[in-house]
Amino acid sequence: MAIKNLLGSTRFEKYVAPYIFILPMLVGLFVFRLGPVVWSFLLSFQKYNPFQGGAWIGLQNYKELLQDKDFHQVFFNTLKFTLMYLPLGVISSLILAVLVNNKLKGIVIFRAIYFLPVISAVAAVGTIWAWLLNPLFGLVNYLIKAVFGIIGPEWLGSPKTALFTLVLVNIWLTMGYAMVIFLAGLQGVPQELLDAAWVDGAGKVKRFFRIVLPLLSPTTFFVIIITIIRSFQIFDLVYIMTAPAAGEGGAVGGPANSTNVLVISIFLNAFSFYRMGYGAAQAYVLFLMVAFITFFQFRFQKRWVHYQ
Amino acid sequence: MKRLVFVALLALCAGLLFAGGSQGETAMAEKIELRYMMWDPQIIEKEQALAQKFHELNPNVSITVEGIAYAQFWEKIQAMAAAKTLPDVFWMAVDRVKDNQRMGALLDLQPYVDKLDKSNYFESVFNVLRAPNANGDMYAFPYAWVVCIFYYNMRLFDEAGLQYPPEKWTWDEMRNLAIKLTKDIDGDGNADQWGYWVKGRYTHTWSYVYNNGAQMVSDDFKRCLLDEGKGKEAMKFLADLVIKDKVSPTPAQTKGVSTFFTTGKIAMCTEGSWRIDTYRKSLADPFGITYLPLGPGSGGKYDSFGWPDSYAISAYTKHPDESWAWTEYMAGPGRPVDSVLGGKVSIWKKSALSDAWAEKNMLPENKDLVLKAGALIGKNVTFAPGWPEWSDQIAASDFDKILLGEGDFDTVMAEMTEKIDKVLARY
Repeated sequence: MAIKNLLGSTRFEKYVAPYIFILPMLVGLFVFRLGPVVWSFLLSFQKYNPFQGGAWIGLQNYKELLQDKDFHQVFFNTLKFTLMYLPLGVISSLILAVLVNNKLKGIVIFRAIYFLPVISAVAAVGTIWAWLLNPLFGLVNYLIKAVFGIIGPEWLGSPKTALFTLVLVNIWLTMGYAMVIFLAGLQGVPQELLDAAWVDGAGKVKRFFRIVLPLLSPTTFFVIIITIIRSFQIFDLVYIMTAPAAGEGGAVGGPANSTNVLVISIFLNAFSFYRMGYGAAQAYVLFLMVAFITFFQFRFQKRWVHYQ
Repeated sequence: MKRLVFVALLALCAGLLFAGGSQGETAMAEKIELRYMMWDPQIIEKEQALAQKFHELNPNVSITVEGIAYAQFWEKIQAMAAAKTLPDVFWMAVDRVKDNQRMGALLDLQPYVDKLDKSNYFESVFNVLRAPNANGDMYAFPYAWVVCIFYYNMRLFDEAGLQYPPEKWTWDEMRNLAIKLTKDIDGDGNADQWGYWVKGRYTHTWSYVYNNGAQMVSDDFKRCLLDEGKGKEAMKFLADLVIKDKVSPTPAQTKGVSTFFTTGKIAMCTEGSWRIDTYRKSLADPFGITYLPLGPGSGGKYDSFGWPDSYAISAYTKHPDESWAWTEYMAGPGRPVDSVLGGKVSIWKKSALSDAWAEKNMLPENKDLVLKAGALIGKNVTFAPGWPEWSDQIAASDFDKILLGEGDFDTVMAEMTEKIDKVLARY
């Protein structure tokens, strides 16, 4: 009876019940998210391997990062990847969204086709692209030679082109996702504004740049943020397309370390070289990079993001 | 009276229950389940069949076979080791033995190995599995071994009217043959058939270091020796084949193709003996094998680079004896010869010296050369601690830099050595 009274009481419903409902989520958040965040921060000050535990070494891991030439290359590879992927990825997704934002018959099929790579397995996509882009036997270079009579680039084989090749494949892979977000934004642009501009004599291009693009800025802002975060966190595609076959030996992130990016380096140090502490320090460098850039984006969004 | 009968029945039932219970407990205690993990899910059914045979011979021991793809295998093992839930028996890569032993994940197998009749095994291979150094105990037990050998495409030699490589020969002879066999067939100004393939990976590079009388790291695992003397000479020889002589495709051209020899565009290459099986299946041309050419620093002494595939037993296993019994069975008469054909050699001599292994009706005609080359395996320094980092990541990556013309040989070799020294210093 007492329990029944308690369950039925307003105080219980107001102060206890909500917390019971969110408890599973809170447990998940603390155990699987915040716990590892704190734990990895502590790890970054230790020499740690999972078999023997850790030893506190202060800032030694961070000092080593500053002196490690290979890590410097990893850091700049990640920046380069982001600087190439961000504009190309956002612009191509926007163009694609504009193209599929019309009422042609069967346009839904095109939208689905462009979205397909997003739901494809990265392992399969990466493996197939690696074959297509093989410098000597790949279909892409075969077509380049057949059509233009020239020898195609070495794609993933050369340090000069490998990172850019990964950017291109990643754009192909993720373009559909940002396209859907842009499409939703485009369909939210009020038709009366476009009609009014048309009546005033504004052409298609002018309407796009003067009306559509500014009204789309909150969507663009969101797409830019997720694109930057995703590009800093790129891992699976790089791993699939650059890792040697099982037992072959050879480096991940090659050739010559040219595609070794932060998350690959974190993974290698923590799980292949048993250097959890050094890997954790690299993870915190990644965190600081993402946090710094996101902070500045939010800080300066007022200058170019227009909410209706 | 009724009460007495009831109590007696109750006592009888209880007695039966406990009697049954104790028998059940004994039976339960005798039933042992071992977990066995390997990294080739494609052969899991074959391994399960062997486990079933073992179970028939040892009815109290059941084996659960688990197959994890190689890419995830070591991460899984690491996580399980940290949680002390390692499988009882699992496949062990030779380059991981010392690291895993150092971390306390492996059972010392020496007490078991000491009781074995070693004459049944290729014992020279055992040393590579000792930890923490060549004088240590065995922390893994081999079931098969492989060795690096020299392959040549007979069609390309025949077309060029050249004699096949002999068993005893030199780097200069090899280079001269490679130059003659490199051709621009379609006349576009670029070679499309190459005399040799410098893959730049451990099978290629370290074989040449050894066959020039050098080694990659010092005996005490403290210093990298690649930037000095004969070791550097070997690396320079390989680099020159790509950069100066241009008798090998570059790593850029062969990116993503781990068996370039199967294209029929390569006249000669150095690879592990396990590739015999690959080339039989995938190379359209006949091929032969021979010893690697000797470098000027070798003093005429041939030094094979080879290693075993092995099993390890978890340091945390509750059933070490049964785990060893299963290991011994799989590394001995239990493993059928057809699971170690091609260029793999069973550690169990009866299997390796059998007609079935010799495969006399198949290429290469001189397959017994694998056995002779295997007898010359011995170095333990190859698999110094930290191998995945210093050999697979640093050396492979930096040597690629040289082969791709991205850095001056001397500068890159000095940088590579410095980085490897830092890795070795951590152990």
